[in-house]
Amino acid sequence: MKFWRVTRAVLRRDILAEWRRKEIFITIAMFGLLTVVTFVFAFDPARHAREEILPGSLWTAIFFAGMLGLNRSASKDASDGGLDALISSPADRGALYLGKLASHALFMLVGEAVILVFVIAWFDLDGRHLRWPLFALLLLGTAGFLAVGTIFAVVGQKSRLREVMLPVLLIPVLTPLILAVVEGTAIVLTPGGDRGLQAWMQLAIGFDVLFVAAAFLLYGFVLED
Amino acid sequence: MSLTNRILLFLSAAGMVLLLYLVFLKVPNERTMGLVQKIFYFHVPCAWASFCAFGVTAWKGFRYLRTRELHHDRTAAAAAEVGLMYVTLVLITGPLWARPVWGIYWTWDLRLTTTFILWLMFLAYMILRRSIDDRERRASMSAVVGLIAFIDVPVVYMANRVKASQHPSPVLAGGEGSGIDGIFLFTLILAFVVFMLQFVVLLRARAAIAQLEDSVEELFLERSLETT
Repeated sequence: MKFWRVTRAVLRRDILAEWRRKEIFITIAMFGLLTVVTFVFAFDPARHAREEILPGSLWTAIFFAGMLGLNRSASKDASDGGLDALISSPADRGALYLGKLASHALFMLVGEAVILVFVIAWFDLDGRHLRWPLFALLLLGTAGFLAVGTIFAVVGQKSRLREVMLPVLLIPVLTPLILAVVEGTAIVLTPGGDRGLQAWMQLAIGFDVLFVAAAFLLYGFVLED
Repeated sequence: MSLTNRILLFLSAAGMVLLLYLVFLKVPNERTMGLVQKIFYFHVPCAWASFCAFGVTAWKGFRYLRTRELHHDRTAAAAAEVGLMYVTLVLITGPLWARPVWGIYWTWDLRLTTTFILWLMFLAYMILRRSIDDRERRASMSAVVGLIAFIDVPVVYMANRVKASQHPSPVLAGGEGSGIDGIFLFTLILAFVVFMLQFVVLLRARAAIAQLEDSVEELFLERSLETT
């Protein structure tokens, strides 16, 4: 019981802090939107099929915006003493990790909702595309990204390179997940059947479970040293 | 250099001479690929050594987190550095072979992609180590990153297999392992042994240098404490 109380406390603290400043949300929504805009200009949607450019643009936007958000969150924790407070508390490290994971997930999903509204308009998406597999992929992709990102953001803060360290560490590890969600999204957006979607979904689920478990066990080490 | 390492060094050097003799003077040219196929005897053992190095980095990182003994971290770092060299060699020798045989330097197929990601991970690990000054902190952070990267490699492989099952790969040549026998097989086994010996020698030598570096650092710290 105490375990979940800690998780909830971390989540509440982060939501409260974010409610006052709205820094992480703005970072994710704004940077994500600008990335999609860049892709729209780079690959004219009028001349390319939707399923060719949208999956890559959408996920590049989500992952890169997410990395900025994670860095924002980690550097805020390091500078306002939040990190020291977490370390000195006797709370279970796994519970702290899950609390951080939950708050990051909440901010990212809200940011993704904003990005999605614009994507729907620009790429003319309708009921044929906006089906449950698309939302499932968004959830799975975000969860897997944050599973590793939440722990690597702290590692990055403890190095001299700070913000630069996170993408250097994170992107190579994320490649299977990137492949799974981008290919999966392309299948959902392609008219006619979801052949092959199941394999990508399974891969994303496997990635999420594996890395949430690994980071849950290892979070204490990066927090304390 | 320790006596064990001298012996290992001698064995690996002698083995390498024998290997070069066999590869270039004894083993006949492969029928379809010709001379270029001989790079195989260096390419494959390098890949094998790099996988071992990656395993050592993760295992020693794990041991460090359990025991907090810095010598585990030194071996982990040494393995990563040597491993990075081997993966780099794999990525150089691969395209040299692929260009005449496949007609292209690079394709995003299963093994190539996995190897390339492995290279990026080794590189990220080295960059991380260089950007943390505190000795204990560097050891913990890199151990965690090493472990996460290690469990990711099979996932990278699986992801690319799912992709390969959906997109036919552009590779034209058949599997290189088919119908290998006699002198070919013996040479390949020798190559594996030689490269593993070489890997162990380099690993031990690099870890010994790291130990020296650490003691120099400690001496400096002691000296600066005395003067203040």
